[in-house]
This record gives sequence, C-alpha cells and structure tokens, in this order.
Amino acid sequence: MSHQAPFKDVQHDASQDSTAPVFSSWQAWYGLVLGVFAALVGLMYWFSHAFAS
Amino acid sequence: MHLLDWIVLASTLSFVVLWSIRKSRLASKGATMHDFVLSGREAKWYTVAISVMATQASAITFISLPGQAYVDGMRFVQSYLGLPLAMVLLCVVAIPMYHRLNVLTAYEFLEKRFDLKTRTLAASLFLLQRSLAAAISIYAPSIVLSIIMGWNVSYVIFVIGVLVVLYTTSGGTRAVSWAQSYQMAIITLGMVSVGFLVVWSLPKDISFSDALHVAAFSGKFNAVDFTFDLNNKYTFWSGLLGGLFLQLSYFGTDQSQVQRYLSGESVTQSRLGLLFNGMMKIPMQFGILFIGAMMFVFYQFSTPPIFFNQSETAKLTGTRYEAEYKQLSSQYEQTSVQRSAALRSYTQALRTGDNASKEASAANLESSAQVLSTLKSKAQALLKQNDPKAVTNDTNYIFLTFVINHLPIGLVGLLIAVVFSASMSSASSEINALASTTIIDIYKRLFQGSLTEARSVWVTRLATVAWGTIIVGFAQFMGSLGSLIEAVNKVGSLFYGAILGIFLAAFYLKRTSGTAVFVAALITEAVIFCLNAFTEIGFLWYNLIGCVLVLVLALAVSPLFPFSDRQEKSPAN
Repeated sequence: MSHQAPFKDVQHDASQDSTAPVFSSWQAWYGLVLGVFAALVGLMYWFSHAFAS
Repeated sequence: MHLLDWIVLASTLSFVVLWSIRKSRLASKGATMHDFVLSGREAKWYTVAISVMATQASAITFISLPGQAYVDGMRFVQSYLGLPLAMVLLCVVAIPMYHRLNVLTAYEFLEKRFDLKTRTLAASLFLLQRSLAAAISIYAPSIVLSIIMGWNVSYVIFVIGVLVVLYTTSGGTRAVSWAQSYQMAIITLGMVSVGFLVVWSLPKDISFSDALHVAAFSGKFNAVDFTFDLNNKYTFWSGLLGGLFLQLSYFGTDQSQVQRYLSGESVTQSRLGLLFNGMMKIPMQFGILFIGAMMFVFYQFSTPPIFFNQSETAKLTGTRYEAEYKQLSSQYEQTSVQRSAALRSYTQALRTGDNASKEASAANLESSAQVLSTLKSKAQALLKQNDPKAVTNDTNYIFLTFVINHLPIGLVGLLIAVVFSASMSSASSEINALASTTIIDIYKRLFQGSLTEARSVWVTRLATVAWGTIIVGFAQFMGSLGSLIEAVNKVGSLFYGAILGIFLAAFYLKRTSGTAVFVAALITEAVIFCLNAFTEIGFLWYNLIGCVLVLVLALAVSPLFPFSDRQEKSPAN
C-alpha cells in the first residue's frame, strides 16, 4: 500500500548542540505534566479531608 | 421540554452537523486515504487535544459520573490517575515511532514487526471491543433520554446514528475533528452552567461552605484512597497501576485514539496535544464528579424520589406491590424531611462551634441515612419481585432527573444537547476508526491490495456507513448494564491488557516471534475472561494482568516458536 510523502517533523533535537541544556525541552514538558499530576493528587487528598468535621 | 429547549437542542445539533460537513467538504476534492483517515496530517496541538478529549468523554461520562458521585462519592476519579504518566510514556515511545513508520493505523506497525496474523488478531480484537463500546456509548444516553423524556429509545438511537454517519462519511477525520471542537464547546458551556446552578439552587440558609461540609460528612469527598485492596474497585493503586495500563492501551493501541493524534502536523503537535490531555483530564473528571456531589447536597434539602427511574416504578401501578411501594415512598419522604432539619442543625452547630449539638445532629444523620438506605433497598426489592428483569440501579437517571426538574427553560435544552454532543463526539471517532481499520488492516491487506486512492476513500466511506448501521443495530439490543461508565471501562479492560501486551512485546521483546505473541495473546484473553467470570478482582487490574501475561507467556512459548531473522525484524530505531 502507498502512503503520502513523509510528514514534516519540526522538532528541534537539542541534544546535538554543544551547549545543550541539561534537560531537553521535552523532558521539561514531561516534568511539568508529572508535576501537575502530583499537585492534583495532593490537592485531591487535601480536599478529601479538609471538610470532614 | 419547553419550545425554547427544543429550539436550543435542534439548532445546536444542526449547526454542528452542517458546519462540520461544510468545513470538511471544502478540502475533500481529490481526497486520499491520508486525507480521509488522518485529515492530511495538518492538525495543530489544540485540535489534537480537543479531539482526544472529546473521543474519550462520551455521553456516559456526563450522565453517569454525577450519579456515580451521588451514590458512591467521588472516588471514581482515581481510575484516571494513570493517564498523565501514560501520556508521557506515549509521547516518548509511541508517537515518534508511529510518525516515523508513516502508518495510517496502529496495527500496520505489528505486521512490520511481527507478521500478518498478529496484525490481523490485534485489529480484530480492536474491532470487536470498539464496536461493543461504541454501541454502549450510543445506547447509554438513548435509553436514559427515552425514559426521562418519554421518547422512543429506538428513535433516539437512530437519530444519533444518522447524524454521526452523515458528517463522518462526508468528511472523515477532518469532519470529526471540526465537529468535536464545537461539541466540546457545547459540553463545557453546559457543564459549567449546571455546576453554577446546582450550587445557586441550594436553600438560601445553606452556604457553599455548609454544602461542602454536608457532602464531606456524607462520605462523598472520598477522592483519594491509599489502601491496597485488589477487590476494591477504586483506590489510588488500582487507578495508578491498573489505570496506567488501561490508558496506555487505550491511547497507544486503540485506533479511535491513535487516529486522533496521528492527525497531528508533526511529532511536536501530536505530543503537545496528548500532554494537554494529560494535564486536563483529571481536573475535568473531578469537576463533573463534584457536580454530582453538590447534586447530592441539593437533594438533601429537596426530598429526592426513593427511586430515580420512573419508568421502573410505573410498572408497579395496579399491581399488589403498589400500596407497599407508596408506603415506602411516603416514609422515605418523611425521613428525608427530618434529615433536612437535622442537616440544618448540623450546619448551624458547625458555624457556632457547638460540639454537643454537632455530635447529636451527626448521630441523628447517621441513623436517618441508615433508614433511607433500608427503605430504598426495600423499594428495589419490590421492583425485582414485580419484575425479575427490573433495572434496580438508578445511578444513570439521577443527573438527568435533576436537569429536567430543576434547571430553567433553555438550559434543559442545552444539557440535552450536551448529552447528544458527547455521544456523537465519541461515536464519530469510533466509527471513523472502525471503518479505517476494516479497510486498511482487513479488506485491503487481506483481499484487495491494489485499490486506487479514490477507490480506497470511497470504500472507507462505505465501511463508515456499514459500521454506523451495525452499531445502531447493536445498540438496539443492549440490555441493562448497571452503571454505564463502569460497563464501558469493563468492556475495555477485558481486551486492552492483551492488546497492550502485543504492542509492548513488539517494542521490547526483540527476539520474540509473531507466532509466540499470537499464541500468548489468545491464552491471555481466555484467562482474563475466566477471571471476570469466576473472581471478584477489580476490573481495572485486568489491564495490568493481561499485559504482563502476554509478555510472560510470549517468552515462555518462544522456544516452541523461535524468532527468525529472515521473516521478522525489529522496527527501525
């Protein structure tokens, strides 16, 4: 089966740079998502107990 | 419904369907399979994100979740805890690989890695599981709407099916994405409105803070439970681990989701779309469950019916159970009124810091809760005695009963439009994916490999109509399923573990043959069905068990079906 021409991948690969940051931008994004997740779990745990009396 | 409600409903649905067809038809001349299946790979991250969220959030989410919170508290939110990590893992592994291999379906990858029979097995499992789930996602809102509104359920199913098939056939993935953008806007507007209104509708002497304390006291704010219990359906661990495997399989291997993010313009756009979903899904589900908890508080001061499904209770009319049922209803109403008074004393005691009064009220409330629960159980038993096939779980009718009886004119029509929109947004993705997989993985691959692009698009359109018809047919015969949001996740969990195991074997068991994985998957499915039939293990765990079992069995039977370098190769890295 035939496919169309390959898509454009506009992602910049920072790891090829000699002055590459310690964390790539994607790793920062992943950290953000997991950080938001941890914050949400903490918030929900607080919520589960904050109004008990 | 009032005339204004009908106008809101009809105009909303008409706009979604007609505008989606128009927007997608502009680009449909000379359409190729790449255009029809992946909308030409031109979607930006926000389109991917909205599409992914709209595909997952069917009408079951909006009908069943608030009722789930009303009955069981907010703990169902834990079943989504695995989603953010699943999104990250898919961004790292799956998205770059799918884009690199330039596939139209997730199952094409399996043939590149293993063999045709493994690809065909995975595609077939998907077609079976997704068609059942699609039928549930159309049937569920239809039966509830038909009972609440007095409409014929077959007509409702038919209307949803026809509307969905119209724009999905016309414009493929592009039309589906356009429609989903409008549908999500309608859904967001409707749910935010009902959230504000349910709190605004509380009695004037009950503040929002009082409402939170009442809900907490009644056990509705059980959002996070860290206990580890395999037989407890919803805990932090079942959600994180079992849910992780469910979401990995659903988003990583289910064509109805893979097709959404493969439409992304690039790896970057696809990734950002999934990551946005990873951040927004839990708050969204939490918000919907919170509406259910507030609805519970509302009904503490507004005498709820003893049973929310009026069509079932109507069957008792004229029978020997009618008098007893009326007596139970009357007792329920009296106890509810007493409970309201006790709740007012409780909230007053909280405000004034009167601990003695608070303890006395709390004891009163505990006993009234027991009485109400007993009365309801007796009413459900009567329904069963009158009709052994009676549906005695009314979770799915609570939210719409509240909408019909307590929301203003106009907003009722908007909320009914929310239900239709959510049903259509999921069903369209599902039918689109079923048709794509049928043509690409089954028809073209096994029977007719040399179709032109135009012919392929035409046949895929035909398959879209066919699958729409089949699913509408399935939906007509769906019986009672208990809580629908549980049913749809359970159907998924029966298959997703094995499918995910096949894909993980493809990624990470480099020297395992397609035949070994094929055999392992068949054995695993048999085991999962046995676990479902003979054990009480929570269904979320099936995903993890199924996945691990495929990998372990594939390794175990590998000596019998050795890997051959000539026939199979690992995907390009």
